[in-house]
Amino acid sequence: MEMYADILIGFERALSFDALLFCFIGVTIGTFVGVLPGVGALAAVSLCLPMTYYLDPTVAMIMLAGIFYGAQYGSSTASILLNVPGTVTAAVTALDGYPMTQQGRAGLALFVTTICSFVGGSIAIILMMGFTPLIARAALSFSSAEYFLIMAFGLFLASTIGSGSQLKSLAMVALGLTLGLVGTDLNSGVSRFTFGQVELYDGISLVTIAMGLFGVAEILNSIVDDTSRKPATGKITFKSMLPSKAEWKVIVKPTLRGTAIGAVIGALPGSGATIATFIAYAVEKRQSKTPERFGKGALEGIAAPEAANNSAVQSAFVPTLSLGIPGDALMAFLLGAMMIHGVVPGPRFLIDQPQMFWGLVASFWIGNVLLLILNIPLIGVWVRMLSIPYNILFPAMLFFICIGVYSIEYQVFDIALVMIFGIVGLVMNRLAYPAAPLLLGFILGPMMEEHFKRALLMSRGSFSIFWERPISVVLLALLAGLLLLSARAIWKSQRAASPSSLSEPQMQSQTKDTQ
Amino acid sequence: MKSRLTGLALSALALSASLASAQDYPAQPITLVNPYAAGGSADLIARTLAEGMTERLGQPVVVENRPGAATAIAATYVAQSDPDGYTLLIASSPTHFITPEIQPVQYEGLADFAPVAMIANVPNVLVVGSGAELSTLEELVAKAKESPDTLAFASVGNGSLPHLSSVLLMQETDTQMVHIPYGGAAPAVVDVLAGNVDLAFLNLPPLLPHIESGALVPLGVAAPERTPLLPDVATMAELGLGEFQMSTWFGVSAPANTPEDVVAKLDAAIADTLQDEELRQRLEASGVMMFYKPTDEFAGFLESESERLLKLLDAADVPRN
Repeated sequence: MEMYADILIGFERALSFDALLFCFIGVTIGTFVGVLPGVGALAAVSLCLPMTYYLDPTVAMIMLAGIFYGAQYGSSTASILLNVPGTVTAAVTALDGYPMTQQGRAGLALFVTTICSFVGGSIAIILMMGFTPLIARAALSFSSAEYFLIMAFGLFLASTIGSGSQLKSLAMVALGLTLGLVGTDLNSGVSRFTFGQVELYDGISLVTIAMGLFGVAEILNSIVDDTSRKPATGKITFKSMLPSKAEWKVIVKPTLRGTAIGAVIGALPGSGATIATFIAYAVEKRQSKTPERFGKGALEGIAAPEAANNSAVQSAFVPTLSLGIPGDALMAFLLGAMMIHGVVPGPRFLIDQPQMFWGLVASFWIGNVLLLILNIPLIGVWVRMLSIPYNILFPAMLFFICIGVYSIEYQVFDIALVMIFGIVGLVMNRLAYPAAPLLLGFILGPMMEEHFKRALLMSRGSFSIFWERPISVVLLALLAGLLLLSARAIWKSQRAASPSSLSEPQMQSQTKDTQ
Repeated sequence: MKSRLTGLALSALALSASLASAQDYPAQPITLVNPYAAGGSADLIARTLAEGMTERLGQPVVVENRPGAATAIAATYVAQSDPDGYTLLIASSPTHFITPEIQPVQYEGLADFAPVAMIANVPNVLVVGSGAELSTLEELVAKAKESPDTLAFASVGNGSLPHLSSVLLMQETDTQMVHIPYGGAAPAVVDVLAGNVDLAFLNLPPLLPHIESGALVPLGVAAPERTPLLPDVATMAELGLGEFQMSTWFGVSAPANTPEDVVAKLDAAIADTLQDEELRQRLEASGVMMFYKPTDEFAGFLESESERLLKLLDAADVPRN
């Protein structure tokens, strides 16, 4: 019962005037940062940190966290409307969101992503309230062997994300894995494929690849092929944004599944929202009875990943706040910000500072409500963005991408790199090679390598570590089951002798030639 | 031709600027480049120092974080900046000798910098997980001797200070343990907590909450003196391990050939800033210890520290560039 009292205290804190005000400022900044392609939450949070020195620690954290999860809401906007993702996770939303825009359903797509983001975020917050200590302890039982198996799982799913040829998807996964090799090898300290470039010692940055392959490539594509875009037609009314009864029905289950996937993967330190988003999309596509609709404007294809990434960013706070262990660079930054404010997150945080912990959690929920209120009226504004002539809009987008990429490490090199990946992306697009599997291969490859080597170091070279631990046994069984299932599917389709999936990649590609 | 003229004009301007710097320095804002990401101990030190220096120099001292490539990005940037005292570096052993030794970088470690002053250090503490049921260094060493290569230690990368600390421990105690590198302190702490790795030397701040909760057991402090945050934990030297000084130190360096009087002015401002009692308390509460050394002592320290760590790199068999 003590917990309810604590939650009440938390809401009381979060509903106080200053907390509400800074929560609103945070989520508003977050929304706009999310909309701008390439400008990430990390850059925004680090710019705002010095401003928070003068605030009460709880209020400061409420604001900084608001930027972080607010960006997840905004990030889907540009990816749905322009096929230019605002953040890496939104690259997944673009797969089905952009086709919806082309079909004139942009309002609906934005409405659905907002609702799914809200549901995903809210459920994850409730889980967090009830189970933080439990989740934190469970996260500790995941070690390198388990992480490796989860990544293997993700990699297997990666090949199914792209629409069209399976072979081309696999080739892109392999290319992604290869690009992931660039940089310093953690175990030996040796630089691989850096060609003496200091900028490459840490590997190619994920944002650079994602913005190049998706954002810049899309802009270049529209220059090469100026018939690909139709100016927006018609007015957006609130009614046209609302899903029909049948559409509501379609999105309920994917949203819940996406939320669950996001909550679990987000809570594991070191895996993060991007992987959760990709896996949620792949799972949705795999279990769908009509997977061929994906990539062409399937509602499930935006509902599941949006629910997943919002749920993941909320549950990512669990290991950060309860163990003092940040899952990614941004969480590490928020942790550092708390320490600057004299608050040390960790096992005793929940007990020593219940007011701050619950105040923060309550503010997450309030922030999500604010985002809902903020984002729905904005949909009309964003959609009107489509009527801006592209010769004005796209240079502006390109400008923001350059700023965003530069802001990560202040490297001019990264701007050159994002342009190179833009050209690579354009070529891939023209030849109907999907970019999403490449991105996932690139994310998972280095992590898999790291965890695989570490698991073997822990077992002193014995492979038995992969089946001696209870969680890894379960994961191994799941992986084997999935392999069997797809082997059966391939066998079946070969018996049916329909080579269609190989012969019509042009049709199913990301190119807009069909329009 | 035009660009060459501009170039000439610019260098003339730079020259006159550096000549004028003797009396007028500082006449414009100073950038303090931090090779580590915002939010960490180095960031806290840099920002606290910048605040105090701004007050004393009468010009804003602005912290700029340029993390990446094991500090090489920031160090290269500062090494190649004009030696006019307006671009300074938060120096550490990676910037001055470890990274230039391991990675093929475009600057010389010691030769390209003019040391200004040593500021602070963050003690590295030897911890084991509470599940390991070890409570003293003696027990740990006994266990390691009993069965070589069964205990594993975590580090934050090949050639990192946590790695070299464990190598030094193995050298001093004549033991053999397995090295498991991590991408950063956070994942390393998780695996020590969970008992997947037996021990680690890591910076105190991220360990503190776990030491307080009892999940991590501190066996010794690898710093010249005990830290006020763990008054009951002995230093490695007290535990009979001789000169076991492996704390993570931070100083300030300027590009080589920065005029001596500019360096002296900066050193004086730093020394005065570090006198501030309130500031000292703020840093100590976050696990950072004051470790001021004036310019000449800092330079001497860099020489001997470089020699010592390079020997450890050899012992650790870290591949060089």
